[in-house]
Amino acid sequence: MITVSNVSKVYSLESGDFHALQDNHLHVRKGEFIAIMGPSGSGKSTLLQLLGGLDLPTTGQIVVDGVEINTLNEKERTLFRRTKIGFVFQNYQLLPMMTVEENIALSLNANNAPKAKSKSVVKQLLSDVNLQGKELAFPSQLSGGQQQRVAIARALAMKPGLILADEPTGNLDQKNGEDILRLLSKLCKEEQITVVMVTHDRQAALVADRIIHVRDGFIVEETHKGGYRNEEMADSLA
Amino acid sequence: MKKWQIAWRNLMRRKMRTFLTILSIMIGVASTFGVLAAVDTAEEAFPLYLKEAFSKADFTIAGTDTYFSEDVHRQMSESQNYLSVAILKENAEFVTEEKGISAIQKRVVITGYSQLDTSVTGFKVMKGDLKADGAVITDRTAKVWGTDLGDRITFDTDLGVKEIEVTAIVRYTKELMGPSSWNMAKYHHWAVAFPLPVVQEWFGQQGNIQGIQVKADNPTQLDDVEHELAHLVKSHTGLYMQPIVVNFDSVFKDLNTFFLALYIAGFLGIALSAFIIFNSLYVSVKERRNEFAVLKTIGYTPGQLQGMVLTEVILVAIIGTVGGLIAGFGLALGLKQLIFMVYGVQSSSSMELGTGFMVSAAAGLVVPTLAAWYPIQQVGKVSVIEVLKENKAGAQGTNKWFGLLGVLLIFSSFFIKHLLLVLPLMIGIVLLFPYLFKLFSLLLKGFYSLVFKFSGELAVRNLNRNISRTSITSVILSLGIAMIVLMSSLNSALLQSYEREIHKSYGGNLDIMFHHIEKEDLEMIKNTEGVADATTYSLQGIIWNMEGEKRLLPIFGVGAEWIDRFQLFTVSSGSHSELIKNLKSDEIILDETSFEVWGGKMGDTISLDTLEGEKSFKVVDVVYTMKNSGYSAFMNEDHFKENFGVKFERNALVIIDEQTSPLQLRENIYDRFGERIEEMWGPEDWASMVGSTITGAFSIVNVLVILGIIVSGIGITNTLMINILERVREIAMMRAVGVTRGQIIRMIVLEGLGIGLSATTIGILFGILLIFLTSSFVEVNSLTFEFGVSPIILAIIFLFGILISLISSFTPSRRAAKTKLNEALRYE
Repeated sequence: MITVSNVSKVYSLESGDFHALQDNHLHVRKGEFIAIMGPSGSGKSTLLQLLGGLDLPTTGQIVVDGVEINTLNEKERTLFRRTKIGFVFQNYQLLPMMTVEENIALSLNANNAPKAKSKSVVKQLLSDVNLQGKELAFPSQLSGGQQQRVAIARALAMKPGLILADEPTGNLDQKNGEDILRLLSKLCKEEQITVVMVTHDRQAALVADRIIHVRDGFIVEETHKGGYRNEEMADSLA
Repeated sequence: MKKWQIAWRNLMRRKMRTFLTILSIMIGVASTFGVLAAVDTAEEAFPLYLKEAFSKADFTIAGTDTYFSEDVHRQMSESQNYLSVAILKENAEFVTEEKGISAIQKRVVITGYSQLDTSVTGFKVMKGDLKADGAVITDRTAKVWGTDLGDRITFDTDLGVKEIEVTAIVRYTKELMGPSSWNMAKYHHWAVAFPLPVVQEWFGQQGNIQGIQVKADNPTQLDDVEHELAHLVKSHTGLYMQPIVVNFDSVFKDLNTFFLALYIAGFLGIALSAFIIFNSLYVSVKERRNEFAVLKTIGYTPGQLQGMVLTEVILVAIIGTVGGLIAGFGLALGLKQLIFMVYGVQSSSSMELGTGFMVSAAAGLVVPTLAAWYPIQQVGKVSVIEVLKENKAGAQGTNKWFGLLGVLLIFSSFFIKHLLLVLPLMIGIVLLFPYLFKLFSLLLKGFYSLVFKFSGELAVRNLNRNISRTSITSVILSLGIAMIVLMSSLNSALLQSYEREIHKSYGGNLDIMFHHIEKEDLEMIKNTEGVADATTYSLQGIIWNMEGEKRLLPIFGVGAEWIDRFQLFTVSSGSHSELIKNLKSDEIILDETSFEVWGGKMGDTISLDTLEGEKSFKVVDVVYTMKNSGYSAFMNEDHFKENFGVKFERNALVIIDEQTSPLQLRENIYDRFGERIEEMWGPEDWASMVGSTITGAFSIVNVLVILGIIVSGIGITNTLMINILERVREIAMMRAVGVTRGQIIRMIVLEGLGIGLSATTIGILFGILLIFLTSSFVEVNSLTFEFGVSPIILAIIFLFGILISLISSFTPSRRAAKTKLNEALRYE
């Protein structure tokens, strides 16, 4: 699903070049759940942005679903994101002036999907994320957990093969956080959607099949599910 | 020093917004300075120009016959109290090798002066010598004729072809008023000055003159000079004397209305800048709430925080004001030139900058500070707890009392019969606008969803998110649009109204002014090809004594037998001929303008200088005319001659037959009478001439209103930039989930277009209301106009408004599309 080869990212700052990522390699299989961990400024969010085509690597190659995204132009990358990738953010990033159903249908509408189709997709997604009856609510009328579920529904609207989640539980309490992780895990298992999640939270990372540790721009360590110390916790979330 | 440095750094954090705010202050200050300085200069210079152009002399002596003896002047030369110059005017044809020039275009009036270098002639020599006994021409004439000092110019006179050397070229002056091109020579003759003996010899008028101009040596001796001249004219038969009177009101009619319109347009500029400052600062304060909260926690008082923001405002105001004053000086020079050109005033007077400088500098500093008052108050009220809890303030509702006050103000403008009604109307629009904007956005929603789909739907939602800010931005453009609708429609309506009225009261299709009319001339005119009918009439400027002030009233001598065919005025009831026939010797009819200037009532008397001295005439009727630009009076022609002793007529009115074109008629008349004709004017010439003055005046106002609209364009850009800045993460998220750059650009442009569409539509509606309200009282050049709007003008203005909003949206939309996703989505 994802192949990252020799990827580096350098930012030119007034104080000199800053190497956010340096010569990294990574391979993610379809339907795999990956957690990326690391201290602040380690390069984990940069890696996620590169995977999503939000930014381009300085050197190296990124292939997602068979497409070398660093060779696509701006518009091609946007359309690729629209159809192949779903994003989930820490602070939900819902549009405050839109209702729940309108937020979920955002990419469908951007793709000029027929109203009827978009309505039925939204209905199904609301049911999937257990938010039936909230179609006409505005984000400000929902709890944090509910808002994040709307964001996940929005990410799923175009039936993407990949979900990139940036600290999806960072703003949630423990119970809501667990709900969201359970939902992501379910999607991964039942729908064969690949999930790449950046997190600070070790407990949250335990739900993943594999944990990638990033430090000072390098992928330094990988931990597979079998290596979990707390197998019980991981199983309970799964 | 540090305080200012910090303020400067804060301003530089939002370079584009700061630049746009400074630019708006600059335009506001420049338009205020430009208008005030140009109007002050015009107000100062116009009377001086009139005085210089029309009353270099204090008195004029004329004869009741065409000529009188030069001996009269010789007799006057002995006086120690005044300077006198004898004058003889004759017509000739200029001989030129220029191709394609018709005879009409070669007409020249040659004026012989007994002395050319006097304060009465007032010629300002550019080249040559006034005492050199040759021809004197103006620089303008020299340029068109291609003539220079020392060249010989040739004229065709009744007594053969004559030649003379050009010995002086003088600055363009009213005495030698001439056309500015060969094309304009179709309408106006050329004018040159010669020494008197040359004219007398060329035209066989040795010993004859036509007039004497007299200037008192000392202004305090005017009464003595008048007495002396009165005694002189009494000792000769067929002579009369008139003081030279400049009537500012009749020459520059309705100038005050024009100046008021300019003031309003200038005021609009600074008012619009105030809106923009308010908007920018309001948002800046909102953006920096966190910063203020942190500063409060470390001990900054509300006063200190307000002082910080006030320093920024003052800094912006100072920079904008300085820039505005520099730009305003250029604008003032340009406006002055335009105003002087439109009103045909030649003056090299210096600019009157004092008041304009002080007022606009004060406005540039005070208005931004006042506009910043409310946002600065908000700085002090920032709640640390709310900010640190990230409690976002709920959307502010519109205050219904403001809306109600707006309705009342708009309603009140229905009862104000003065152009100042614009002020309550516009304040009313500002207060009511958020409601109108909401209403409009409902209509826009359906339209946008249908036409622009995804981007359109998002744009309408965004417009409604910050309704106060968006509607303030929109109202700025709306006010400019309303003003330009009013000005353009007034212009067009007045032109149509003038054209209609001038044809109704011109007295025919052509008015010919001869040097003088001989007895057989009328029959000759009637027998000219293309003439269906003709008549001659008398016209003389008579001294009108009004409450100790002397004015000049042009009076027409009207014949009862011809007035029904050659209607010089319109009457409300009855026939023209009955009205004239029933006039007694001491009765007079005034036209509406002179009646208004007089301020008396029907049946009262006015006092005019006649052959027998001052005499009272009863005003028995008021009529409407555009003849003589509408400032005149009418008498029975027999009574006119009795009272004023003018024995010869100079004007003839002609009605054209249906098969002949106006141009052909002129050619035919000129072929028959040649250089005896001084001027020929048709109603269409007046329509074109007055039309260009009206259009010129309105264009000047429009220039200022367009400046205001540019300011409102800046406002749109500013608001959209602010919106984008606030929504940068939102835009980044949209891009992340697959919304393309093109869709983002369309969304922002459609937001700008939405502001423009609502502003233009509502502005046009209020513009139409303004036309309706002003149509009941506004008079320009004595013309009123009927309510009416031109769909073409509205369509052009609509497109202009849309264009401005699209241009203004361009930069913000590009910037939004370039949002850096990785930066925007980074955690706070």
